[in-house]
Amino acid sequence: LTKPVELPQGTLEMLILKAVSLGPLHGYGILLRIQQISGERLEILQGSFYTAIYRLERRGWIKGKWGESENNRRARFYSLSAAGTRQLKAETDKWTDMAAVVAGILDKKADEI
Amino acid sequence: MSLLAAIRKLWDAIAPRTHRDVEEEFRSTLEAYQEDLIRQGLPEEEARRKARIDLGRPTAQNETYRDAIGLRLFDELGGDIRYGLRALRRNPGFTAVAVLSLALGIGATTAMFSLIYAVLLHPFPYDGADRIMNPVVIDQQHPDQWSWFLLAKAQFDDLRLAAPVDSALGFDNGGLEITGGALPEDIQCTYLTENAGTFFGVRPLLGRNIEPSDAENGGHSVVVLTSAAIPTSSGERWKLITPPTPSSGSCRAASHSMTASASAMFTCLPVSSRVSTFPSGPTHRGSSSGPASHWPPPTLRSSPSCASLHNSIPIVFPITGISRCSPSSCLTSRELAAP
Repeated sequence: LTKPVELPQGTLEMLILKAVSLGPLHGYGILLRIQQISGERLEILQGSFYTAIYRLERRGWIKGKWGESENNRRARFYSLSAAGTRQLKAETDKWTDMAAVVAGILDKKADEI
Repeated sequence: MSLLAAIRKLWDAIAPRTHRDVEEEFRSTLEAYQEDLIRQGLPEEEARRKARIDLGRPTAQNETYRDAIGLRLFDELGGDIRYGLRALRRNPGFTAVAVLSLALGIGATTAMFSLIYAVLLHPFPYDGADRIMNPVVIDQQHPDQWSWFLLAKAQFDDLRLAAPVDSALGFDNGGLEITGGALPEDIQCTYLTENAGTFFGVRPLLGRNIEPSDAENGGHSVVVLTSAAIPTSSGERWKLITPPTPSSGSCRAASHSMTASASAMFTCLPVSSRVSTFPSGPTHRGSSSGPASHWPPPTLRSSPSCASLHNSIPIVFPITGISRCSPSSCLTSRELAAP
């Protein structure tokens, strides 16, 4: 059994952008997609999830459009806007750089310094 | 894209979503989650309960939405206002007292401030009053003694063109006699250059102000009455003023009732009607030499970029003749004393 991972602060919006970049999804679908990609290891707090969705839509990084879900239920589907695509790339680069730096520091041994 | 479509797109981008819209979206998520729980083996009632516990109530989602887009503050403010209005409606007596107290308090404070502003802070209702000043000549031996000075026309024109000077006005106080009533009355008057109207920027209550055209072709005799010259306590205003006669320096008022301090009346006339009567000779009053043609004492308004004319070299240069005529004197300036 894998141990659940707590999402670092400020990364939820980036993950939502990534999930939406793979194809239009409704709110619950985005949640499931992130959990699926993470191998069910990420625990996303419901309260912060929709707050992040609303904020991203307000900033124009994702676009919402009403449609019909797989269960024939009316749902709001989100897709990535052009601004969102640029933002996702910037966030990804930043995160990759930071993760590499932190990992490099943590991997260092005394005799390597 | 049509204009309508562009407007609609812009509106969609900036307008907040409706409560119903937000609730509907959240409800669909709630139901999808509930169905997932049922698929995982939970009874329907238990699944519904768990979904509500995990995700919350759809009605509360509006607060999350408004908070996320930064509108929560307005909602709370609106709620407070509505609560206040309801409380006021429930207590009409208290409401009346509170509104009356506020009205009286605000009214009295406004009236008091208006008075202080008009009398102390902004006493002169002229354009750029804080930049208007009278240059005067003071005797260095007696710095407390000062006097205005006359200028040659060329000096006055130089002064007008000096960089720190936004506008220059010539003025000279005098006296006139009003006839037409039972007895003639002496009044104070001031002769002003033809730019007086634009210099002060004050709109006359009746008629017109002195205009540049009044100085053309030797000048026209135009008289402008100040409010001090219009007696109001007697209930009758001057209705017709005949222009002063340059030779006699008198003017007549028809339909008058001069019960209010006639000696304090103040009348303004274009300086062109007075120029020829200025004493020839002294540039500085009291001196005995100087150019033959003279212009009245100047009042200056500095340009907006020049806060003060005090010790301004470009101002001093055009009127260096003054110091030549009176070496012991020096030029300074005083804040405006209304001519």
